[in-house]
Amino acid sequence: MQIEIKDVHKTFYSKDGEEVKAVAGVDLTVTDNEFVSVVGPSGCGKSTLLEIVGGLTGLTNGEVLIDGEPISGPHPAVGLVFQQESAFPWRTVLENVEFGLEMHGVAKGERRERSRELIELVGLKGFEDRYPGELSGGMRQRVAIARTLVMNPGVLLMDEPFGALDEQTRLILGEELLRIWSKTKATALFITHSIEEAALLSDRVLVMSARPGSIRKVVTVHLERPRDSSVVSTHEFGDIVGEIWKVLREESMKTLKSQGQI
Amino acid sequence: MSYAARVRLTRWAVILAAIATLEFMPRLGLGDAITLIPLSEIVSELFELLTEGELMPHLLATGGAFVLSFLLAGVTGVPLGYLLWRYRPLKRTLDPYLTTYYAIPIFAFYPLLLAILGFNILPIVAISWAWAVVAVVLNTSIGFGEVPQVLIKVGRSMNLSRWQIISRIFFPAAVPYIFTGLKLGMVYSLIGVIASEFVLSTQGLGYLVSYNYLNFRTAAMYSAMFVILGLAILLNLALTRIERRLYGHV
Amino acid sequence: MSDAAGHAARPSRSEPDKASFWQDPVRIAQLLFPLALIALWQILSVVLGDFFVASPLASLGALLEGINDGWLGGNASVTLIALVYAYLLAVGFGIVIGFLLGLSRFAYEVFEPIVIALYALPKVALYPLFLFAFGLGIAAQAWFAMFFGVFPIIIFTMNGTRNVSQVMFKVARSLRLSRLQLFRAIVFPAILPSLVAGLRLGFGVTFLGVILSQMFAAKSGLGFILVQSVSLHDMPQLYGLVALLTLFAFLINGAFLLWERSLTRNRPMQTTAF
Repeated sequence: MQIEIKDVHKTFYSKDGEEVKAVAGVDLTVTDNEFVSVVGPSGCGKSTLLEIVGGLTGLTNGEVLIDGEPISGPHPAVGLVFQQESAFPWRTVLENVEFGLEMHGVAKGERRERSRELIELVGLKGFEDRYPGELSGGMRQRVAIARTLVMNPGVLLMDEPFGALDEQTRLILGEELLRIWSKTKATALFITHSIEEAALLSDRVLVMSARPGSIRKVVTVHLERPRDSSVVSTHEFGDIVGEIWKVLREESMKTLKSQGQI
Repeated sequence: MSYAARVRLTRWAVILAAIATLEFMPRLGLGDAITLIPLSEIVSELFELLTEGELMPHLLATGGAFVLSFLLAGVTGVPLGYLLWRYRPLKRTLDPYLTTYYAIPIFAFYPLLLAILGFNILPIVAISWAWAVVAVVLNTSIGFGEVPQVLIKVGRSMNLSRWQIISRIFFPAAVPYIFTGLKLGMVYSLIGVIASEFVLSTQGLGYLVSYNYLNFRTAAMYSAMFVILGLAILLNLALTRIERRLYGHV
Repeated sequence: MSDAAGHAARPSRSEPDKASFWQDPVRIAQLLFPLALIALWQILSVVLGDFFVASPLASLGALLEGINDGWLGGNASVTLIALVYAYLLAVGFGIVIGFLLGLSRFAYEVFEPIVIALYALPKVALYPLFLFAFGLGIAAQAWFAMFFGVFPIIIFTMNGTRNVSQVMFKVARSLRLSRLQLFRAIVFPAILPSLVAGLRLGFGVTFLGVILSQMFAAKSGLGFILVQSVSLHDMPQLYGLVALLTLFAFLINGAFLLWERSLTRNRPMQTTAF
């Protein structure tokens, strides 16, 4: 499936009535089965952009099209994974994964079968009857990913899904995400603040400007697929990271200066 | 107008509306004329009570029992809380009972204390102390438990003496929790004093309410209620103010 | 399997081991604690004499006598009826008000200080108002006790609702759930543990409210009998009643605690104090 983001603007008002421009004029097309990452300084509106594409947040100007159809609200073929803990602590792993199917009236036998497949795919086989509270943070995030993938989304939107994890775990889970994604054929839009993660996963990396967010630079990643995390030691990888960081550094400095932190 | 100002304004509007209801309901003839008296009449009755000196002895009795029971709760509660934190097995043993403590109608012990100690200030102080002390104990022991280990390590790395670590790091770090315990203790001991005076006693503001109720002196009863509520509200406001001043920055 | 980077999973739900239960001195001390209290009671009754302290046996005897004579059953049922009415009212009002205040941030910020202040007021002194409004009898007692018990339920429901993580609502919307589904499948289970904690504390306070109200200007009920025993100086009856009320509250609270534990067992991120 294809995502088209056309001149999207988002302005909102803080509770004290101040105008905040979060996103200002983003244009982007993510083609079928492409993996695109967005990096940017904190507070640049990258999560807002993702929520607009996911239909959770309205936009002030512009439009978002999924397979040529403008969206109004959450699109059935779009799946979201969030940074915050979102596995339901009162449901077992299996019950978590089959949640969406259950809500949409899929018969028990079928949803069990599909959920078990996904649990195996994300590497949680044997943990079906555990509760999220008994799992590590990385495993809980796998649960959330499986819960989204079981709905068979054509578009997968991920907002820093491994943001709360340490660097090593993040790279290794990223590698696993690539393996899982290659089987789903979904079009992926991935938000992160980790340059390495973005370079490892993506076909293209977009660098966003300081708030109000717009796209400063697009870096194409010509690393061969399938990839694994060992590419981080190659020269090509280093060059890509360097190219991204050059732009991102400028934008981050702007953000920090505007906040009076430096 | 800022959001915070809007919140505050709405809150005061709600409170004023409640007070206005108390004033105008009886004036408009809603509610029984004998039992509901306009606020303004209660206030003038209150001034009369104050000037005639009828209120003073009761105010002193309540104040005395309250101060005494609260001080006792503080003096006994903080060390007990420390002990409870210091001796883990003791804390683990008593934990299920302490969590149950406020589920028990502690006040049922008041008649028992009355029968043992007689009709005087002692059973009132004792029951109010009992009501307040456990809140102090629980919060103190939680407070000591919440002191971040890294602060102790900072002290150790600076080669501070054991006593310096306790007095300069450990206690100041636990004080906000202890203060919360004392605040609750204060609220509970006031409730304990008023409740015991109201149910069965011979003096105090709580007694004044029940005495006036039983003798059909409705306006005097309301004014006693107002003194109680006024004192309790002032106490709460003062405690919140102090807490904000002391720990607003934390 | 454990996480690739060595984040081991927490051990599986461990049932307390029967053998280690008896080897844990704390467990034994916990079981012995009530017995120690009864022993202390017995000792005090001997040391201070039965004018001050009735012995446990004498107190039990007074209660058994009360069952035979019928006064215990009669008064206990008055208390229980008032308690059931009061608690149902407190639960109904408490959950609805708490939920509504928790849903809106603005309403929460306006009313939260008012609710906390009302909780902390010595509301006993307002009991005559309930007598004026509902007359002498069970209705006044029930409404008064409800006024006591409703606040913990409001506070816990309110905070529970507020603390439902925003991301849960986002999950619901991205899965296009209906409002009913959102409530039944997400909000309700998310709130349930704090709701039950509120129900537990609310029950304790409601029970206290019933006993208190029956101590004042009542003609029946266990609170009334308590006060009557003081004026008759019937020590066995007085001690027996206090022990009975304590035991009753302890058992009900224990049942609530078990319910709470079963809900929070798998949720290490949520705990309730007090």
